[in-house]
Amino acid sequence: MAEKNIPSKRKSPDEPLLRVKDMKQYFKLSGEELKAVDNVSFDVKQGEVLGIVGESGCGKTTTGRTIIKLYEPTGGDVWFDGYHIGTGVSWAKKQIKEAAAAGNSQLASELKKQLAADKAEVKRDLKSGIMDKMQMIFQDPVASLDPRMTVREIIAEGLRIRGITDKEYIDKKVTEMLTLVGLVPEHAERYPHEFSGGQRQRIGIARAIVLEPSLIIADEPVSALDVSIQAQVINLLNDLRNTMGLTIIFIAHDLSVVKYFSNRILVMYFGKMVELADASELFKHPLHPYTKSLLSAIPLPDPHYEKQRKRITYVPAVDHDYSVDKPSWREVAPGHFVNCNDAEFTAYQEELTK
Amino acid sequence: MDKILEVKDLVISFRTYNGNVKAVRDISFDLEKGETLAIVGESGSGKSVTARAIMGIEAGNAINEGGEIFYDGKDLLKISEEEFHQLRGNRVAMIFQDPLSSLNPIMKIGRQLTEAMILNGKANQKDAEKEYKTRTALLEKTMTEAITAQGKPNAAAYVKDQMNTLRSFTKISNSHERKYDDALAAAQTAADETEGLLIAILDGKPKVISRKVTELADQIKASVHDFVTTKDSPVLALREKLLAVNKAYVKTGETTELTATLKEIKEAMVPILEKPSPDWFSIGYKLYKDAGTKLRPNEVEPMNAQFRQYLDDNFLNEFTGNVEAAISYSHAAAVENQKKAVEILKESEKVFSSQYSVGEARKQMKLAGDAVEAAIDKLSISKDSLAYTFRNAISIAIDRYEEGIKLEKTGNPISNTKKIAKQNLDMELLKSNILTDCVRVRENFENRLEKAEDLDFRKLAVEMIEHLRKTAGKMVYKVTQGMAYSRAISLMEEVGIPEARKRIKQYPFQFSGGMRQRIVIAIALAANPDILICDEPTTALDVTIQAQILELINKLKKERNLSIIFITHDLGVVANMADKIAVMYAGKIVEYGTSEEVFYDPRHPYTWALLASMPDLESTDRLEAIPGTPPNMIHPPVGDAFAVRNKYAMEIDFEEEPPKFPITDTHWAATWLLHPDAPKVEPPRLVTERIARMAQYGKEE
Repeated sequence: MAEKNIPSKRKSPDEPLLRVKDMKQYFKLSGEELKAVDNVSFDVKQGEVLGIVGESGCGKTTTGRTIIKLYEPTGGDVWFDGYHIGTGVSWAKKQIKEAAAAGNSQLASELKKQLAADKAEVKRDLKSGIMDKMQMIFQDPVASLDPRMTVREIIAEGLRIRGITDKEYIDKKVTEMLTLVGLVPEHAERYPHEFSGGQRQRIGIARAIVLEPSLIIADEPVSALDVSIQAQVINLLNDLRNTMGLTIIFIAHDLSVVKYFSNRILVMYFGKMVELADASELFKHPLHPYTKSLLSAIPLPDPHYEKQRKRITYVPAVDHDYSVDKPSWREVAPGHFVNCNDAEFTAYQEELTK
Repeated sequence: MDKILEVKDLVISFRTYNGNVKAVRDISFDLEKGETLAIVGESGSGKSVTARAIMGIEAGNAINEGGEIFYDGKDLLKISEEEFHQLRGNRVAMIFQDPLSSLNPIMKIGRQLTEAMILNGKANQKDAEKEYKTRTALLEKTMTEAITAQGKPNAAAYVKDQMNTLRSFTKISNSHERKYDDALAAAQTAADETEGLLIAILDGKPKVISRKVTELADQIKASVHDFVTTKDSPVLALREKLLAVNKAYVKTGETTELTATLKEIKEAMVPILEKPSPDWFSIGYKLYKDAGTKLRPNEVEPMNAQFRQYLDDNFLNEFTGNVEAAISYSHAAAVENQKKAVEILKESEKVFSSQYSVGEARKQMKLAGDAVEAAIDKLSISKDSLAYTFRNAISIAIDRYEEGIKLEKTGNPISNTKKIAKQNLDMELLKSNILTDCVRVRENFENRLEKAEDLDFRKLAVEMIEHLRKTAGKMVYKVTQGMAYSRAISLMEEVGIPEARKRIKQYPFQFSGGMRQRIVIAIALAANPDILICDEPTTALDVTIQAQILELINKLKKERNLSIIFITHDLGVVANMADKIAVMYAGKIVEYGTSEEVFYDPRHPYTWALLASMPDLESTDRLEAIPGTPPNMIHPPVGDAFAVRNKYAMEIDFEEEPPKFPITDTHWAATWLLHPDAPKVEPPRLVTERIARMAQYGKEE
């Protein structure tokens, strides 16, 4: 028994594989609301690698986890392969309440209707099993593999949950995946602790690709690894991307690795999107002061360069004046988006034409 | 430059069920003052083990099979745990990888920062007392002998009188100094509390504040002393006012007047803390000689000068002469004994380099040990620790040798402690360890004998008296909670933690990763170490925080002239930090050079592989990952350990270990590729291209 074939709901292959619109993820923290992800919208095209960078606590991991529905989004919508897989209920409810409180009953009822429709659509779309096509690779290969399961069980778990019972088919799949990630079939009977860090991360990757996903969310897959092992894992992901036609969201804080691996890069700062551009464009012409400060912090293996490198610090209160003119998400050059206000917008455009 | 730390031929292995894992195999390097040495390599290459050996905190199953780590004339592998307590944290400090697990989650930051200071303070007091007693006793004995030798009649009585004078007046000095110190500490605490209160008022918790005000009043009262807060000081009047205002504050909750009073107190405290401190050593003598002396708190400096003169004229000059005599007497005896010891050691070397039984070895050891012990100049302030530890070191070496013999014969270890595993029994190494112990002490003695001629005994005598005076001072110097806190706050400010006064009361979980690492650094710096070992300090942090921490470490290195050992697997981080780089693989240093040499002219294939496996901002080619994993160190590979993973490996790499091929004076690499007969090979394209690009960049600058 093979897996279900889930037809794409996209009208054409050029349409983005993943669409995220106004996604919000708020956490309640001792009465206060922490806006971990605030109004994030982006598209990911089929076959591309989108890198998400930012310092720890900027919401990049939360973004990934919300897309794959480890968290329910507070607000906003997510479409994957044309399927509506997530909608923010609590935000919509809050808006309905606000509209009702303001006495705008018409708007409130419209919003209510919209929410009900969205909820029904998401419920229906999720039934198709489309979430199988989205998988995640976690940062820590030690913590993300069950120490009491053999490698075979770990890799086959996804298949079993899918309801596949054919033992021969599972064996075939596991062997195939192990060879694909550069391990040998004999490894299937071993336990995770018998492997080195790089090999464990390979097992994590094998587990992620066994259901033949079209999108992989890689949450800092190499941060916990040695340099030499990092290279092995990055090369492996690169190969898989070519052979399987994977689309990858690559979350990391190591900018050299992100630059090397991604087509486009999204920079986040305190839950907000700051800049989005092609990888080479972003590194050549960083516009937002935060991006600049981030780039200036990258250490390179060149002592002369390092002795001269000056780190730029980013202080939002000094770098921006948003007291009158509020910032918004704008396209400064084709494909190059920055969060800025009018004055900055013109300044950035000038900077690009220079 | 001065070498501050020398690691020589270090061999460390770990006992495991499967056999001995050879973690560090014969590495040597020097660390110079104010220099950063980076140790780079994959996990499992032995870099952390090396660092831990320097700190003396290896895992329980570690065996130091051979080699030396010299710091401050001591071999850190041979000194006792007691002696290590003096070094660890105080002179050599360490920063660990994960700031979360190296802080105690249920202790406030302030406690963690001050804990060591207070403990060390207490320990120092005890040590000083012991040192003072033994040293004065020793001095008295030697001085009597020296003066008797000069032919003075009644030498014993004369010396006894002198030493008693010294002891009595330092006793008086100490009791005065103790009172003064307590008062000064109270004044310091009061000043700190005033500042803390000014901040606390902003939070507005009346109960806490009024309690703190009474505490402050108590501290001010405790600081009353002729030389600190004098009885006519305005602070005392302000204290009365503060108490009155506090009563009103508790009733009304009005803070303006309280704040104003506190500010006045803060200002009035400044001159008190800036007062010059009296010279209690001289004062003690004056008071001893002349019980009715009046001290003059208003003219501290002239008083100090006058009393010092009095001390010099009446006692100290004569006493210094006697001390000088004692020192030169003791030294002359030591020189004689050292000459003898050198002879005996030479004989021992002969014995130990031929065939010998354990019994013979022990006999010889006793001879040599006695000779060396007799040759120690016990009076000298700077301890010849090599000689002090000789007997212990050689007896350990012989024990190990005996165990080795037993093991070789019967296959069973001598005791349950099982210091050596059968698989890697190396009798030659065990034997040579005994021999090197002798050679080292002999060379040390010979050096000393050469220098013996140009010793300035007068200078040594002055140093000795200064030393006595300092230990006497240490006996009374108490580190109070308040002093430790104010020092902790200044440390936190030094490492860039904003609002230190407020944050010192928080728990580790309330800090972000970067801030936590700063606290760990502050704790490491608290004791003012000479050497800072950073074990992957930024691996758990993200780019911006990493950059901040690296900048901080670099800043502190400059300001405090620290020597740093920086351990990492990320070559990118190292370029900014290191003066010298040691690349480690499978327990050996495979390439060593200055940072420029290693980055611009790498020679070892492993260094190439490390460089090629990390992407930089320009790279687009496929990365060259190092195939495979590091070797199993229970059975280290024959030949070059890296050969199996090395695409440039030649046949000889699998047969024979490559020696160190020097490239420049400071740069060497252990690879057969540098042998004149080896074929010419090019480093991987990624590396050559990057070097070319860097050269280009260098020209543009």
